[in-house]
Amino acid sequence: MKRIGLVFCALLLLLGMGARPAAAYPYYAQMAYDNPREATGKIVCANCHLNAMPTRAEVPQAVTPGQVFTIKVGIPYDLSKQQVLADGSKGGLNVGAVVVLPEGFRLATEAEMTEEQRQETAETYITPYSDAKPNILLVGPLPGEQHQEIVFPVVAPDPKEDPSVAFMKYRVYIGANRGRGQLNPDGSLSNNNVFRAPATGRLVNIATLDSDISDLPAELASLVPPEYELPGTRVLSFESESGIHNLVVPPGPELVVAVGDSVKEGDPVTNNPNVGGFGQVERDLVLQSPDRVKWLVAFLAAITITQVLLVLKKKQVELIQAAEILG
Amino acid sequence: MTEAVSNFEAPPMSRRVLLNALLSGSVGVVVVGALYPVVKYFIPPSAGGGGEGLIAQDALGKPISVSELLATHAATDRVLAQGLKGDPTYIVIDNGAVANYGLNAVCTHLGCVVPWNVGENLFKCPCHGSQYAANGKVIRGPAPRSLELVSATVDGDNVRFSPWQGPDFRET
Repeated sequence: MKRIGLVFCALLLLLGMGARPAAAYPYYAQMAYDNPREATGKIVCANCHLNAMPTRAEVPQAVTPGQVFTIKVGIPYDLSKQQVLADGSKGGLNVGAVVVLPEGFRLATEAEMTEEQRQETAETYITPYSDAKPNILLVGPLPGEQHQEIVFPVVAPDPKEDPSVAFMKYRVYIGANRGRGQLNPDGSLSNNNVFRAPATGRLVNIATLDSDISDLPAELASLVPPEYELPGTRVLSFESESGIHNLVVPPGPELVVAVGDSVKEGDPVTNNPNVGGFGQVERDLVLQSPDRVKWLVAFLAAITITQVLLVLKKKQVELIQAAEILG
Repeated sequence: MTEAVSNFEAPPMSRRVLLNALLSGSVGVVVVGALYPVVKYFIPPSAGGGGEGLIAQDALGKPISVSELLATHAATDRVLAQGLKGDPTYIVIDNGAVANYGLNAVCTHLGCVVPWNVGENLFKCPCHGSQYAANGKVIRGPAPRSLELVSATVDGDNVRFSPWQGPDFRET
């Protein structure tokens, strides 16, 4: 409850500061989707985080019922790189992750965690995806410099207490992202994108917003959507056979064309400022019965003893045969 | 020559028997250990005991409504329903009310479902001619025992069957 409260406060703070979302937002997945994992296995984060980058995961090979264990998610990237922020300035990357555990597994409470886990998760606000899905865990956004690796403390279920859970091998699906996304929840493009020419023709004019929307001619000003009304936004006008086409480029991406250049429709007119990306991995996790292991060890011991006795019997028969021939 | 013989003296019979016993014992443990789970695998899992009983269902598997049952049947009737373990079970209507017992319709002879004969007020098995009284007591062979009792309680608008506790009231 305390943790959810903290997350809510953090969210209010971020929204209240007036800054547009600066990085990975697992909450957006929570808002838009009942289940973050689609039927094809794609995690929905990839719908807005279009670049692919590796994700690492460390999941134990097997756990026993009721065990509190740790899932580590690694989100590596080049720490020297900076991404463009919403206003076009450069800044560090944030990270976020989602862990889809098997049904019955859940986040460990503060009291259940080990001292080490408590320290490792002190700065992370891990929340269940929804009341109906306590087995899906979300975290983020977190500053990427301090969180190249995120630790999830998890409790395994006990099939004795919960008959719907069975001892078997389960799949764990892990998705992790770094850097800002390319689409906002309303479907509009963020400035962390490549912008492309709207038509085949010649670039005839670049109008730049300095500080206020009023610098632009009225017909261009009306083109700029409210989220791009920032100093540094450029309106590119292309002259083609069918007339003038305008393209609004928010601050951040750098232009790779100059006035007078000819472009084809769909050609990039900016560089790609995106240095982040999303990646997902799958891991096996066995919910193992300690009884099964005990009986396996006992059976293997019985086999070993039998094999030793078989060899001893063979040695004895060899002695008898030697005595029959030589004696 | 005698020295060579003493070098290759065969192990005595008692030693051979001891090793045979140890070997066969451990082979037996391994074989039994491997077969035990295989045998257990082929024994069907138990369906699980429903301690609080089961709502009586009609032939289509829908719960039977008591008010409808009493409205559409005579004051003394026996109505087939799905009972415990899926056995066909008669709901007993006496004096226009559901009795506190039901009758398992499976004949105690070879397991045919025994039909209710309204005219003679009897259950008459079509297979080998066993007959049971209106309360299920056997009155003609070859059936060895009376029809099995189950406990029937009216639960809201449904009938709930549960295993019969206590003695058989039909014993004289």
